[in-house]
Amino acid sequence: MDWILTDDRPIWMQLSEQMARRIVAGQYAPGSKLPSVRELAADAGVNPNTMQRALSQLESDGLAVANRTAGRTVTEDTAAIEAIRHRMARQVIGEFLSAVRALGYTREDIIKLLKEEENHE
Amino acid sequence: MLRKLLKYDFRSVIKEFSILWPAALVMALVMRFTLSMADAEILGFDIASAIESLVYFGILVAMAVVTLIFIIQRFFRGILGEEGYLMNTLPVKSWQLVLSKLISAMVVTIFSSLIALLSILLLIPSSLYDVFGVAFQVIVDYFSSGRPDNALYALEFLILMLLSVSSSITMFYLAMAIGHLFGRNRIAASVIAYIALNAVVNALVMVLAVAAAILDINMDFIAAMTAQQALHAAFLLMIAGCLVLTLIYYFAATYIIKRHLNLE
Amino acid sequence: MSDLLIQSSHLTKTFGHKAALRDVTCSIGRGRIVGLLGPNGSGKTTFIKILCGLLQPTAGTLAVDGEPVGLHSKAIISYLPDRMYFADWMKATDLFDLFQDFYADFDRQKAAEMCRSLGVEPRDRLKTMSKGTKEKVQLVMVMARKAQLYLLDEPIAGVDPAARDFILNTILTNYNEAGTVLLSTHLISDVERVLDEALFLRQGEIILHNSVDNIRESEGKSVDSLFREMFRAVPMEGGRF
Repeated sequence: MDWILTDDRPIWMQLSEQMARRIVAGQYAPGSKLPSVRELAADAGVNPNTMQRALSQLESDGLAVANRTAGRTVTEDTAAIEAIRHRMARQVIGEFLSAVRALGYTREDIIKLLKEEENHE
Repeated sequence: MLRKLLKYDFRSVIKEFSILWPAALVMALVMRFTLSMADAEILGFDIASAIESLVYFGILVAMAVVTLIFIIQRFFRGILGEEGYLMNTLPVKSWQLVLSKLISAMVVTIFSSLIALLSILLLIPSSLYDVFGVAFQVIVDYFSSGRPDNALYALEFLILMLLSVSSSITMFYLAMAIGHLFGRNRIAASVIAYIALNAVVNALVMVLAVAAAILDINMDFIAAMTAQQALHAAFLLMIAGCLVLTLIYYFAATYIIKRHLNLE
Repeated sequence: MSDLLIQSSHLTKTFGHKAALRDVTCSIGRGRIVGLLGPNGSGKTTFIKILCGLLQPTAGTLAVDGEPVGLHSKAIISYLPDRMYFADWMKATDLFDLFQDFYADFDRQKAAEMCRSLGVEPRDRLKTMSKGTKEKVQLVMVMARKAQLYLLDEPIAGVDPAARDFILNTILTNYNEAGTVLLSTHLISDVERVLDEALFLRQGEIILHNSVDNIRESEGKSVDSLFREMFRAVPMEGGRF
């Protein structure tokens, strides 16, 4: 997955969100070791300090754990990951709903639409 | 640190002269060979000797010019030019940078002179080889004459030569350093500074001479000297003069580079 | 060891009647990547050259690692100039020797490895190399040191975007993280994501010095956009020269 950085917000926030997305999507499994700050920074083409800040944010969000010896690992607390995943999904759905409502769809229309879309797939 | 700097200055000397010095000797040998053929058969003696003198002269001039350009460029480019971006950001003192350039420049001068001398010796026709024997005998006689002054004169002469070389080189350095103080037209400013320095030194010598005359300093002590003492005194005076000039030029150039370096 | 790596106080430099730097006061800490940003002629190169001792300030004071510019600062600064500094006779290996002799923090093996990965043959004479290759060699010399302060003057000017990414990546993956990188450029969008701090220079004066995060947070726009706005306003001011 590539890093997508926009101009409007601090880079560390965007990095932190994208790391969180990778974790909840299972790209980094619970309890697995995360790449080093330096590796991640080089991959994203950002300053290591910025990546450091992004990872600290992951720690305070409870998604990552700093180990004294093994660097940083993804938390083994799957319930916590699930909770955040759920929150992210709700957020996406919320955005979706308000966008579709803005087009004039009612609740019933939307459910119907989703079912049709499911059949298409 | 000075030794490390010298290492790189000598590397540049070797790269510059590793071809030129042997080439000068080889050329002298070749000329020597062709001239001896011409000498014997085709050309008259006068023409051959005229060509020979021309070649001597040519080798001398070429060696002098290349050496001079090298000495000036190593300083101008190496400290005040683009290479200065490398040299002046090394953790070394300015006096070490300048001294390293000075020492390598003196070595180059000495070697170039020796090579020029050697190439001229090589050009001497075999019919004149007796001259070597005579010259050698004169030198042996000079040192084995039992007069200790003779060896001392030779030593004084050698020191004077070295110091006059060092004062000439440091004068170039100072002229370039003064030229560097100007924001633009630094080369022109360096040339003018060189001419001005020469004028100042000549004027100073004149002033000293005139002052001695005006103040009517008692010169009797000179008359009281033996010939040997007078010669030693003359040598020492000139040595002192060259030494003082070298020191002034060197420290002034170093000061400018330390305090007023502005590489734009 | 001083807490602040660079402390500049009322630093001023004039060339003739023209001021290249006016009253520059700022401090820069350790372990940062700082962008020295401004259009051409805004004093970026002048500031860097004063830091490495190639220019002498007209007024004001400057300390690097708590000491005035001198032997100590030169030993801990790794400087990439905006031009070639080699002597004609040199090979890259001569430069390796030179750096090894004079800089205790030079890692020769790393330099050789970097040359290999950049496809540079260190035994070729520098004079015969292309401009791009020479620039690579200089970058290698600078980044193969474990320096306290890297001064990079326009490291990405005049190269194509692919080479830019490459150079920035080389810098990012090789600099000493305990040290600070000060890099000057007018190509801000390319370097923005690698910077911790931005220092804007206009006509020799600092007009902004803040962290990139703060700028984005408070302005809601990238440093690049802010820069474009600020410098678009220049012709309107007029009169000051």
